Amino acid sequence: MAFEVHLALWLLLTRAPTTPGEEWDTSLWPPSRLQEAITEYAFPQSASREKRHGRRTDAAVVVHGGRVVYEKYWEPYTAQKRHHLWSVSKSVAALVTGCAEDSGLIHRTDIVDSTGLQLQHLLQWSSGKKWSETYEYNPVTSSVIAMLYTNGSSNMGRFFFSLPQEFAPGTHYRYSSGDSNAISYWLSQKMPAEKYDRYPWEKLFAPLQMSSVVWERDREKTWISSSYLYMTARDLARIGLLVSRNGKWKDKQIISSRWLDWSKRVSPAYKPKPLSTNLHPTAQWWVNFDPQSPHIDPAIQGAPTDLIAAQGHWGQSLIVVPSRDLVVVRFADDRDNSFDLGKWIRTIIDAAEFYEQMSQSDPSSSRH
Amino acid sequence: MNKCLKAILLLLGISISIFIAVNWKSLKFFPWVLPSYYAKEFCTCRYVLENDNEFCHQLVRQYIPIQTIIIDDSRRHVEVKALWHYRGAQWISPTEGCQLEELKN
Repeated sequence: MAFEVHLALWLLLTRAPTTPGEEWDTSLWPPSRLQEAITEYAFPQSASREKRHGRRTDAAVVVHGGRVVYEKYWEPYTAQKRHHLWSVSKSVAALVTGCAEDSGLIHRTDIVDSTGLQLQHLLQWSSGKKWSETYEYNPVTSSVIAMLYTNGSSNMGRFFFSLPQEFAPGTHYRYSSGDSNAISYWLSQKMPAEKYDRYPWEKLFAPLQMSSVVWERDREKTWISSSYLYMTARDLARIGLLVSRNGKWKDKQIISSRWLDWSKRVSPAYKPKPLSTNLHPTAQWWVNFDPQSPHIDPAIQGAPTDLIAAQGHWGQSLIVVPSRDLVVVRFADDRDNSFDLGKWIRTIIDAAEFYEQMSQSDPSSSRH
Repeated sequence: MNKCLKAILLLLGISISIFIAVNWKSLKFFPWVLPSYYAKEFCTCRYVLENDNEFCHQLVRQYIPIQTIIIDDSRRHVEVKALWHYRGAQWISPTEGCQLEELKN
């Protein structure tokens, strides 16, 4: 079919922003150079399961105005299959923590041990505990590997709290999976076991109608927030849409805008590295820019200033641009540094802008 | 061997010994990293992500090969032997996924 026919059909289907029910509304962008550029970047022809080189995307889903506008998978992955989230888990877990604060079960100023360490220090990755966050390329003295796989694996909270204090709490930023798991350990101490076990589903996954979620625990039944959430790309997109909509889902406030606003504040102890294009850390999320810390330049030039993201090992990412009501999920198995998040964001936003303009300039569309 | 080479080797030997002594707490667990990682991630790949064995081996493999793996689909349990150490992982429930068993000496 001609591009114009595709476009006319697509425009007819595109209405005011929506929120998914049990299933997502799908309104795929008609093929164009810009839409194809997304596929070319995410799914290069040369990608191989046997060879661990280059960009290896398992799933890419783009949601615009609450509808799925782009969706592609690499076999054996499909829309129905769960994937690793790795550290994207940290950001989702922080939403559950936010629900707990909204309910009054905990507060970010809670003191969690005898050193004066507060929950917010854990959330902002500045516990000051002695920690080494290295992965498979440097496993020997890695704290995260010991926590997940060897001497910490049965009781990750106890492993964390037994570590020596290297810096005073809150004074030194250091990305740590230990800090993230200590948060879920703290939550486990604040409610009965049966309530804790159901809590993320009751507060977040069920209201958002996310049916694929698996959350692994240690032998103490503490959720392993740092690394072990699993779900479909479409379910993760629901989390992104919630953040895009400032915590509101249909007519219900699932998580307070107060918590979400705080999730966009750069970690106070963080100092950006010169020439780095890494997003800036907040309370378990990553942002391009924080208007309340204007001295810290945007991390990625040309990317929206209100961009907020969750990032995980081997290329997992959830990107949210609230000003455009845009959500991008990527599941991957990148084993090198070929993937450039800035380029990914720009490629998608170029396409989103194009289709937005098409939609706005068409008189038959009821949008805007 | 000349004096210079002897001195370098001695220095290297001392440095390694210091490194081992200082990091003994983490190093003594090092042989368990591979069987634990393999068992846990294979279990998850198979029973949580619902992929086949071939795909999971490909996903989970590291530079050092494992020695044996026992995959028990009937009770959703995986046991791996690598670097002469064993570790098991057990699938618990549809929402809890896989979990490493206690580390055994």
